[in-house]
Amino acid sequence: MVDHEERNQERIPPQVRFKYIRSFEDFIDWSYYNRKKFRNTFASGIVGLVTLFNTFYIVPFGHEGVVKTFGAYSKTVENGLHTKVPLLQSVKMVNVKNVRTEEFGYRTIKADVRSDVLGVDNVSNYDRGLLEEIVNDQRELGYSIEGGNAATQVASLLQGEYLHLTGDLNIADVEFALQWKIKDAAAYLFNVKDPRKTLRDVAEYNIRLITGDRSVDEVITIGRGDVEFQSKEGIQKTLDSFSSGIEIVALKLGTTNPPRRVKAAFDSVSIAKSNRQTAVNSAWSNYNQIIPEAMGNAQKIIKQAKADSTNRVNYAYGDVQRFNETYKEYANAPEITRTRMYLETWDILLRNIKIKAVEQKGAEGGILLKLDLDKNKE
Amino acid sequence: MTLKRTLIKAGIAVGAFITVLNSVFVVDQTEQAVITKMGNPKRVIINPIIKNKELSDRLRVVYKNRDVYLSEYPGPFYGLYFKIPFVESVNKSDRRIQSWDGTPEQITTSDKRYIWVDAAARWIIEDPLKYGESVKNFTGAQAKLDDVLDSDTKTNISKHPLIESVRNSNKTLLVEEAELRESIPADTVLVGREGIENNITTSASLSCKEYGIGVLNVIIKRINYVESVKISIEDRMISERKRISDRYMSEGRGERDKIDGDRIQEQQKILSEAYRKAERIRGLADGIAARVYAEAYSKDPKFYQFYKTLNLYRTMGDSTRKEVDLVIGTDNDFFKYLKEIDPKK
Repeated sequence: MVDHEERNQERIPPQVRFKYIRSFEDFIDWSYYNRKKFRNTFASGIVGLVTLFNTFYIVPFGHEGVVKTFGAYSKTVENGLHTKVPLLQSVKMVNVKNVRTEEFGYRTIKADVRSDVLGVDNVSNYDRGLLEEIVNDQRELGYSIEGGNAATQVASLLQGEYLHLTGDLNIADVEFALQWKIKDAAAYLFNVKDPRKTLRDVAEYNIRLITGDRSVDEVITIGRGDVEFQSKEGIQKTLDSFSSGIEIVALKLGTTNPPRRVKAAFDSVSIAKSNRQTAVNSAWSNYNQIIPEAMGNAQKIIKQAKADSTNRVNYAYGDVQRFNETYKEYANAPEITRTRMYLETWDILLRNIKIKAVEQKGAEGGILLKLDLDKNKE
Repeated sequence: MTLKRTLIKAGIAVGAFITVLNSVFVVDQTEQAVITKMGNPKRVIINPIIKNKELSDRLRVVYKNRDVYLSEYPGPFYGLYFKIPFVESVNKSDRRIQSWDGTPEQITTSDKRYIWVDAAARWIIEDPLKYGESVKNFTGAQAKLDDVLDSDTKTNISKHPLIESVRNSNKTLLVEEAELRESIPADTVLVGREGIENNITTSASLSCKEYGIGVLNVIIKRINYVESVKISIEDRMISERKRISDRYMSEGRGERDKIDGDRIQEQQKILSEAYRKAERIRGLADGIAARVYAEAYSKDPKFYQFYKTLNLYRTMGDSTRKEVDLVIGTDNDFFKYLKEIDPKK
């Protein structure tokens, strides 16, 4: 162990050399005798590093660096390695690739993997902390929100955002999302004091300028695309008039509905419309089923008539031929043929049917009323 | 002696340092500054609004005819400027475009509609000199803007019927159902939303000029009905739609009945035509048969009668018709020979 106090500090003992360092204590001794050298190296190192970090800077990908000299804007640089004058110049990195979203009339809540949509109807499903976050976000922008608890505050906040008065003086609930990015970093930083609030105000203003000039039908159904396009154009135009440095990437209408109380009535129209179609369709299907059947039936009737008439004619010819043949023979021996035919007929009758003979007085023959004698016997 | 000298040296050094510090100042890109000498404005430094010549010129124009010197911007040393130390002082203010957000107000329009209006505005410190004199800070400015804009908004909106502040043009509104056209207000839009906003902006600009505030635009952010009106509007919307759905329902029934009617008509036409054709065919056949029979039988009508009658008797005796019983009197011709036999002979 070396006693530092007793040694002359100007002279470095020969055993305290870098190449003789064998233990931590040796190292301590070595650094003690070299402390002056260390101090200078350390100080100049710090200065050098600070200067280095103040001179060179890297603008990350997707960012732009806005350079100010004595507070005044001097240039905007692309991503990459750059230099500046230390202390006199300062740089602010601005993300110009990131697309941000502003929501109106609802809020998307990112919980775990899935994301929920918080709307007026399900405000009570969310806990107070989250609702207060939404309220505070709006307060930070400079909007005053008063009265009630967090849930009613959020509800009235959202209601304020989605209620639209349409051009036909009706009411529509319009939810929409605005996607935006910074297109000019310098303008974004220096021109507008509260760009996000300005963006929200301008967006609400421009979309209502459009929905105020449309019917409720156009806003909620037939003109949605038009509303999206026109509002987007309007918002961009207003923002450009302030050179806000903001670019609207997209405006997307979310659910657009008539007011909640009216919705059932609106739905009943489309139901009635489809019911009408159903009635017409079923009537037609009935028609299409019955008419071909009737046509087939008609064909059947005609075919039947044709068959009947063929029968009739053939039977007639048959009857006549038989008669003619009989008559030919009859003509040869009329008397005997007559008697034969008469008796043959009796023969058939006797074979096939019950004949009852009844003594009849005063009557001159002919057919009498049938008396069912057999049955009475039984 | 050496201590005194050291103190003097140090004093001079500190003094020089303070003097140098006091003779330079930095104006940030977001700021503008007024340099006053003993309270009198001497110079104004305004940073331009980036990429917006129109607004930048508007700021410059304010000082065009004043006896103050407007620094060219940016300065030769960028944001670094010099002044006479201790004599001149610097008053900085914001140069950026700022927001004003009005509290929603209940307004009655000239056609007696009760609505809530929420307006907002963009403004800028146009004259930092006047601004510094009259409102001093942001809160003060907001209060002045509240005074001016709230009343200007109210006046301008209540002067017109509701349709003027809702609609912006006379664009034809498209509706899904024809009867909805009836409920669209027929009034022509004369001023329009933007027109009203421009009027508010103009009058507010005039009033705010004395505070050094330039009102860039006033926007009617939201218009809503008051709750009681909202309910009656919703009732109207419900009845409108109900009327349409009722029409669809009855149209459906009507069309169905029409198609059913067509169907019955068509069906009966087909069947009756078929009957007509069938009967005609049968008639023709009957004709042929009658002719054939007549030709043959007319050769000996008496024999025909005998022949046919015998055939009918046979039919009666057809073995398939067993149930037929024939009862005949004993004096029938058939028994002729039976009677003639005399057992006494």
